[in-house]
Amino acid sequence: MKAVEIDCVEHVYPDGTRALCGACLEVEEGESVAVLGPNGSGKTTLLLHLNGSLLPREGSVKVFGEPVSKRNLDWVRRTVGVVFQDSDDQLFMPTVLDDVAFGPLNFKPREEALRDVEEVMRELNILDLKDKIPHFLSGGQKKLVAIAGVLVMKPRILVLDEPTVGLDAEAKNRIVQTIIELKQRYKLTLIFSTFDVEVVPLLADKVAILKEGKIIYYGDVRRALTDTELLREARLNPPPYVKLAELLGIEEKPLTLEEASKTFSRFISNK
Amino acid sequence: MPSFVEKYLPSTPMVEYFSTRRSFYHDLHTLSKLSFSMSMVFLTVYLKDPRLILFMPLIALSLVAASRLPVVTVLRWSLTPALFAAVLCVFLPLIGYPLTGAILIFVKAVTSAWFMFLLILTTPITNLARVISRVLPPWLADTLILTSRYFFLFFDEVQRMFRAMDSRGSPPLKRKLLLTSNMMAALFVRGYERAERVYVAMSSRGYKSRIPLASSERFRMRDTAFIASNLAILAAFSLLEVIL
Repeated sequence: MKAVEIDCVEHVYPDGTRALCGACLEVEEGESVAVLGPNGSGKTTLLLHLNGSLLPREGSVKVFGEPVSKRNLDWVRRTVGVVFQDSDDQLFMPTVLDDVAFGPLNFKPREEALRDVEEVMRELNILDLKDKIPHFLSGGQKKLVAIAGVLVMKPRILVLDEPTVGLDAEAKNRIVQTIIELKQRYKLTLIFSTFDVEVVPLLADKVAILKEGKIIYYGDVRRALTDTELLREARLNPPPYVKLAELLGIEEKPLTLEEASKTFSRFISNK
Repeated sequence: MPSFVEKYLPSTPMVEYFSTRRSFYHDLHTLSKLSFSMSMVFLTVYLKDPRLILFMPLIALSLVAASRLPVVTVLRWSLTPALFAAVLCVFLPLIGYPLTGAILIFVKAVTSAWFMFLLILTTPITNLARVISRVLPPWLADTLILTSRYFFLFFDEVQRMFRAMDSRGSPPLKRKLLLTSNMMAALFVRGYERAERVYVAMSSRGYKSRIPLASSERFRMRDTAFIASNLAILAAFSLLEVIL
C-alpha cells in the first residue's frame, strides 16, 4: 500500500518564493526515503506538506490514500509525525515530561496519555530527563526528546527534517541507531531530509533528490550516491568513500564503512 | 562570566532550577503559595503605618531564607524592580510628596517584588500556569508557558547579536544606539519567524487552542493550615493597622 503520494505539488510562500514546482513522489508503506537537496531546494516545504502543516497551492498529497485537507488534519497529524530541524522550535514546553505529553494529551485521556509517555521515554532511554528543562539539554538529548514527543503519538509515518544536523559524532550515531531501531520495532514508514550523505545508506531504501522545488531523481540509494554528476547537479558532495574510490580509480564505489573496508582492502592487496 | 540577564534578572532556567529545590514552602500547593504572595502584596500596599510596613520586608526575606533560596541572589535580582521604583520615588518629593512617603512607596515596591520572587522561585512554571488558568483566561496561562520557555532563548539571541557587533569593532555610542535600534528590528523578525515555526510544531502535534499540562498537584492538609495562617496574618495586620 502507498503510504504517501505526492502528486505535482506546487507551493508558493506569501513573499512569492516558489518552494515547490510540481514535485511528485510515491512512498510505499514501510519504506525509508531520504530527501536530499541543497539549501532552499524545498526539502522542509515538501516535508511540511506531509502532515498538512502546509497545504499545496496546486497538486495533491495523499496519506494512505486519503487526500490531506483541512477536514482530516487531526487524523493526518496522528498518522504522520514530524520531527523538526531545530529542536528548540519543537520543545516549547517548560519540562521534558510536559513536552513529550503535549501531543497525546491533545488526543487521549490523561492516564492513557501519561502511560504512553512513560513507555516511549523508557524505550528511548530518556526517562531520567523527564523533569529537566529543555534549555539545559544537549543537542542529542533535545533531538531524542523531540523524537519521543512525536513517537508517543504512535504515527505510522515518521518524518524527520535534518535529524543529524548540528550534532557531534556520538550524538549523531545514537540518533541514527535509534531511528533504525524504531523503524524496525514499529514498522514505520520513514521519510527524512538531510545534507549528510553518510547517513543515507544507513537509513534509506530510496533517495529523492530535490533541486529548485523539483524532484530530479527518485530511486535507488546506491545509484544516487555514486552518480557524482547527479550529486554535483544537486550541489551535493558525494560520500567520502565514493570520492576516495573515484580518486583511486576504483570502479566499485563503497557507501558504508563495512563496504569501504572490503573494497579498499581488496584494492591494496591487488596492488 | 554570568550574562547581564543572569546577574540582574531571574532567567527562566534559574527560576526552574530554584523551583525544583526542596523546602516546606516548595512543597506547598501552588494555590496556597499564589494566594499567600498575592495577599501579602495587597497587604504591603494597603498598610499605612510605617512600623507595620517595615515588618513586611522582614517576613518576605525570612521566608526567602527559610525556603532555601539564595538571599543574596534574590537581593541582586531585586535591583531591577528597585531601579524602576527608585525612578518614581526620586521624582515624588519634587512634586510636593513627603520624603518619608516616597521612601515607604519604595519599600512597598521592593517588598512586593520579594513576595513575587518567593512565589516564582519556589513554583515550577507549569504549576503556576495551571493555577492561573483557573482564575484568568487560559490564553494568559499558555502565554506564560511559552514566554517562560522562549524568554531565555530571546536573550541569548540578543547577546549573540551584541557579541557579533562588538567582535567587528566597538562603534561609538551614537552609532551603537542606531545599530541597536536596527538590531531590534532584526530581532523582531527573528522572533516572528520562530513563533511561526513553533506554531507549526504545536499544530502538527494536535494543538487546538489550549496547552495541556502533564504534571499535577495534590491539595493537602498542610495547605489548608497554611491558608488559614495566611488569613490570620491578614486579619492581625488589618487589626493592628486600625489600632495603631
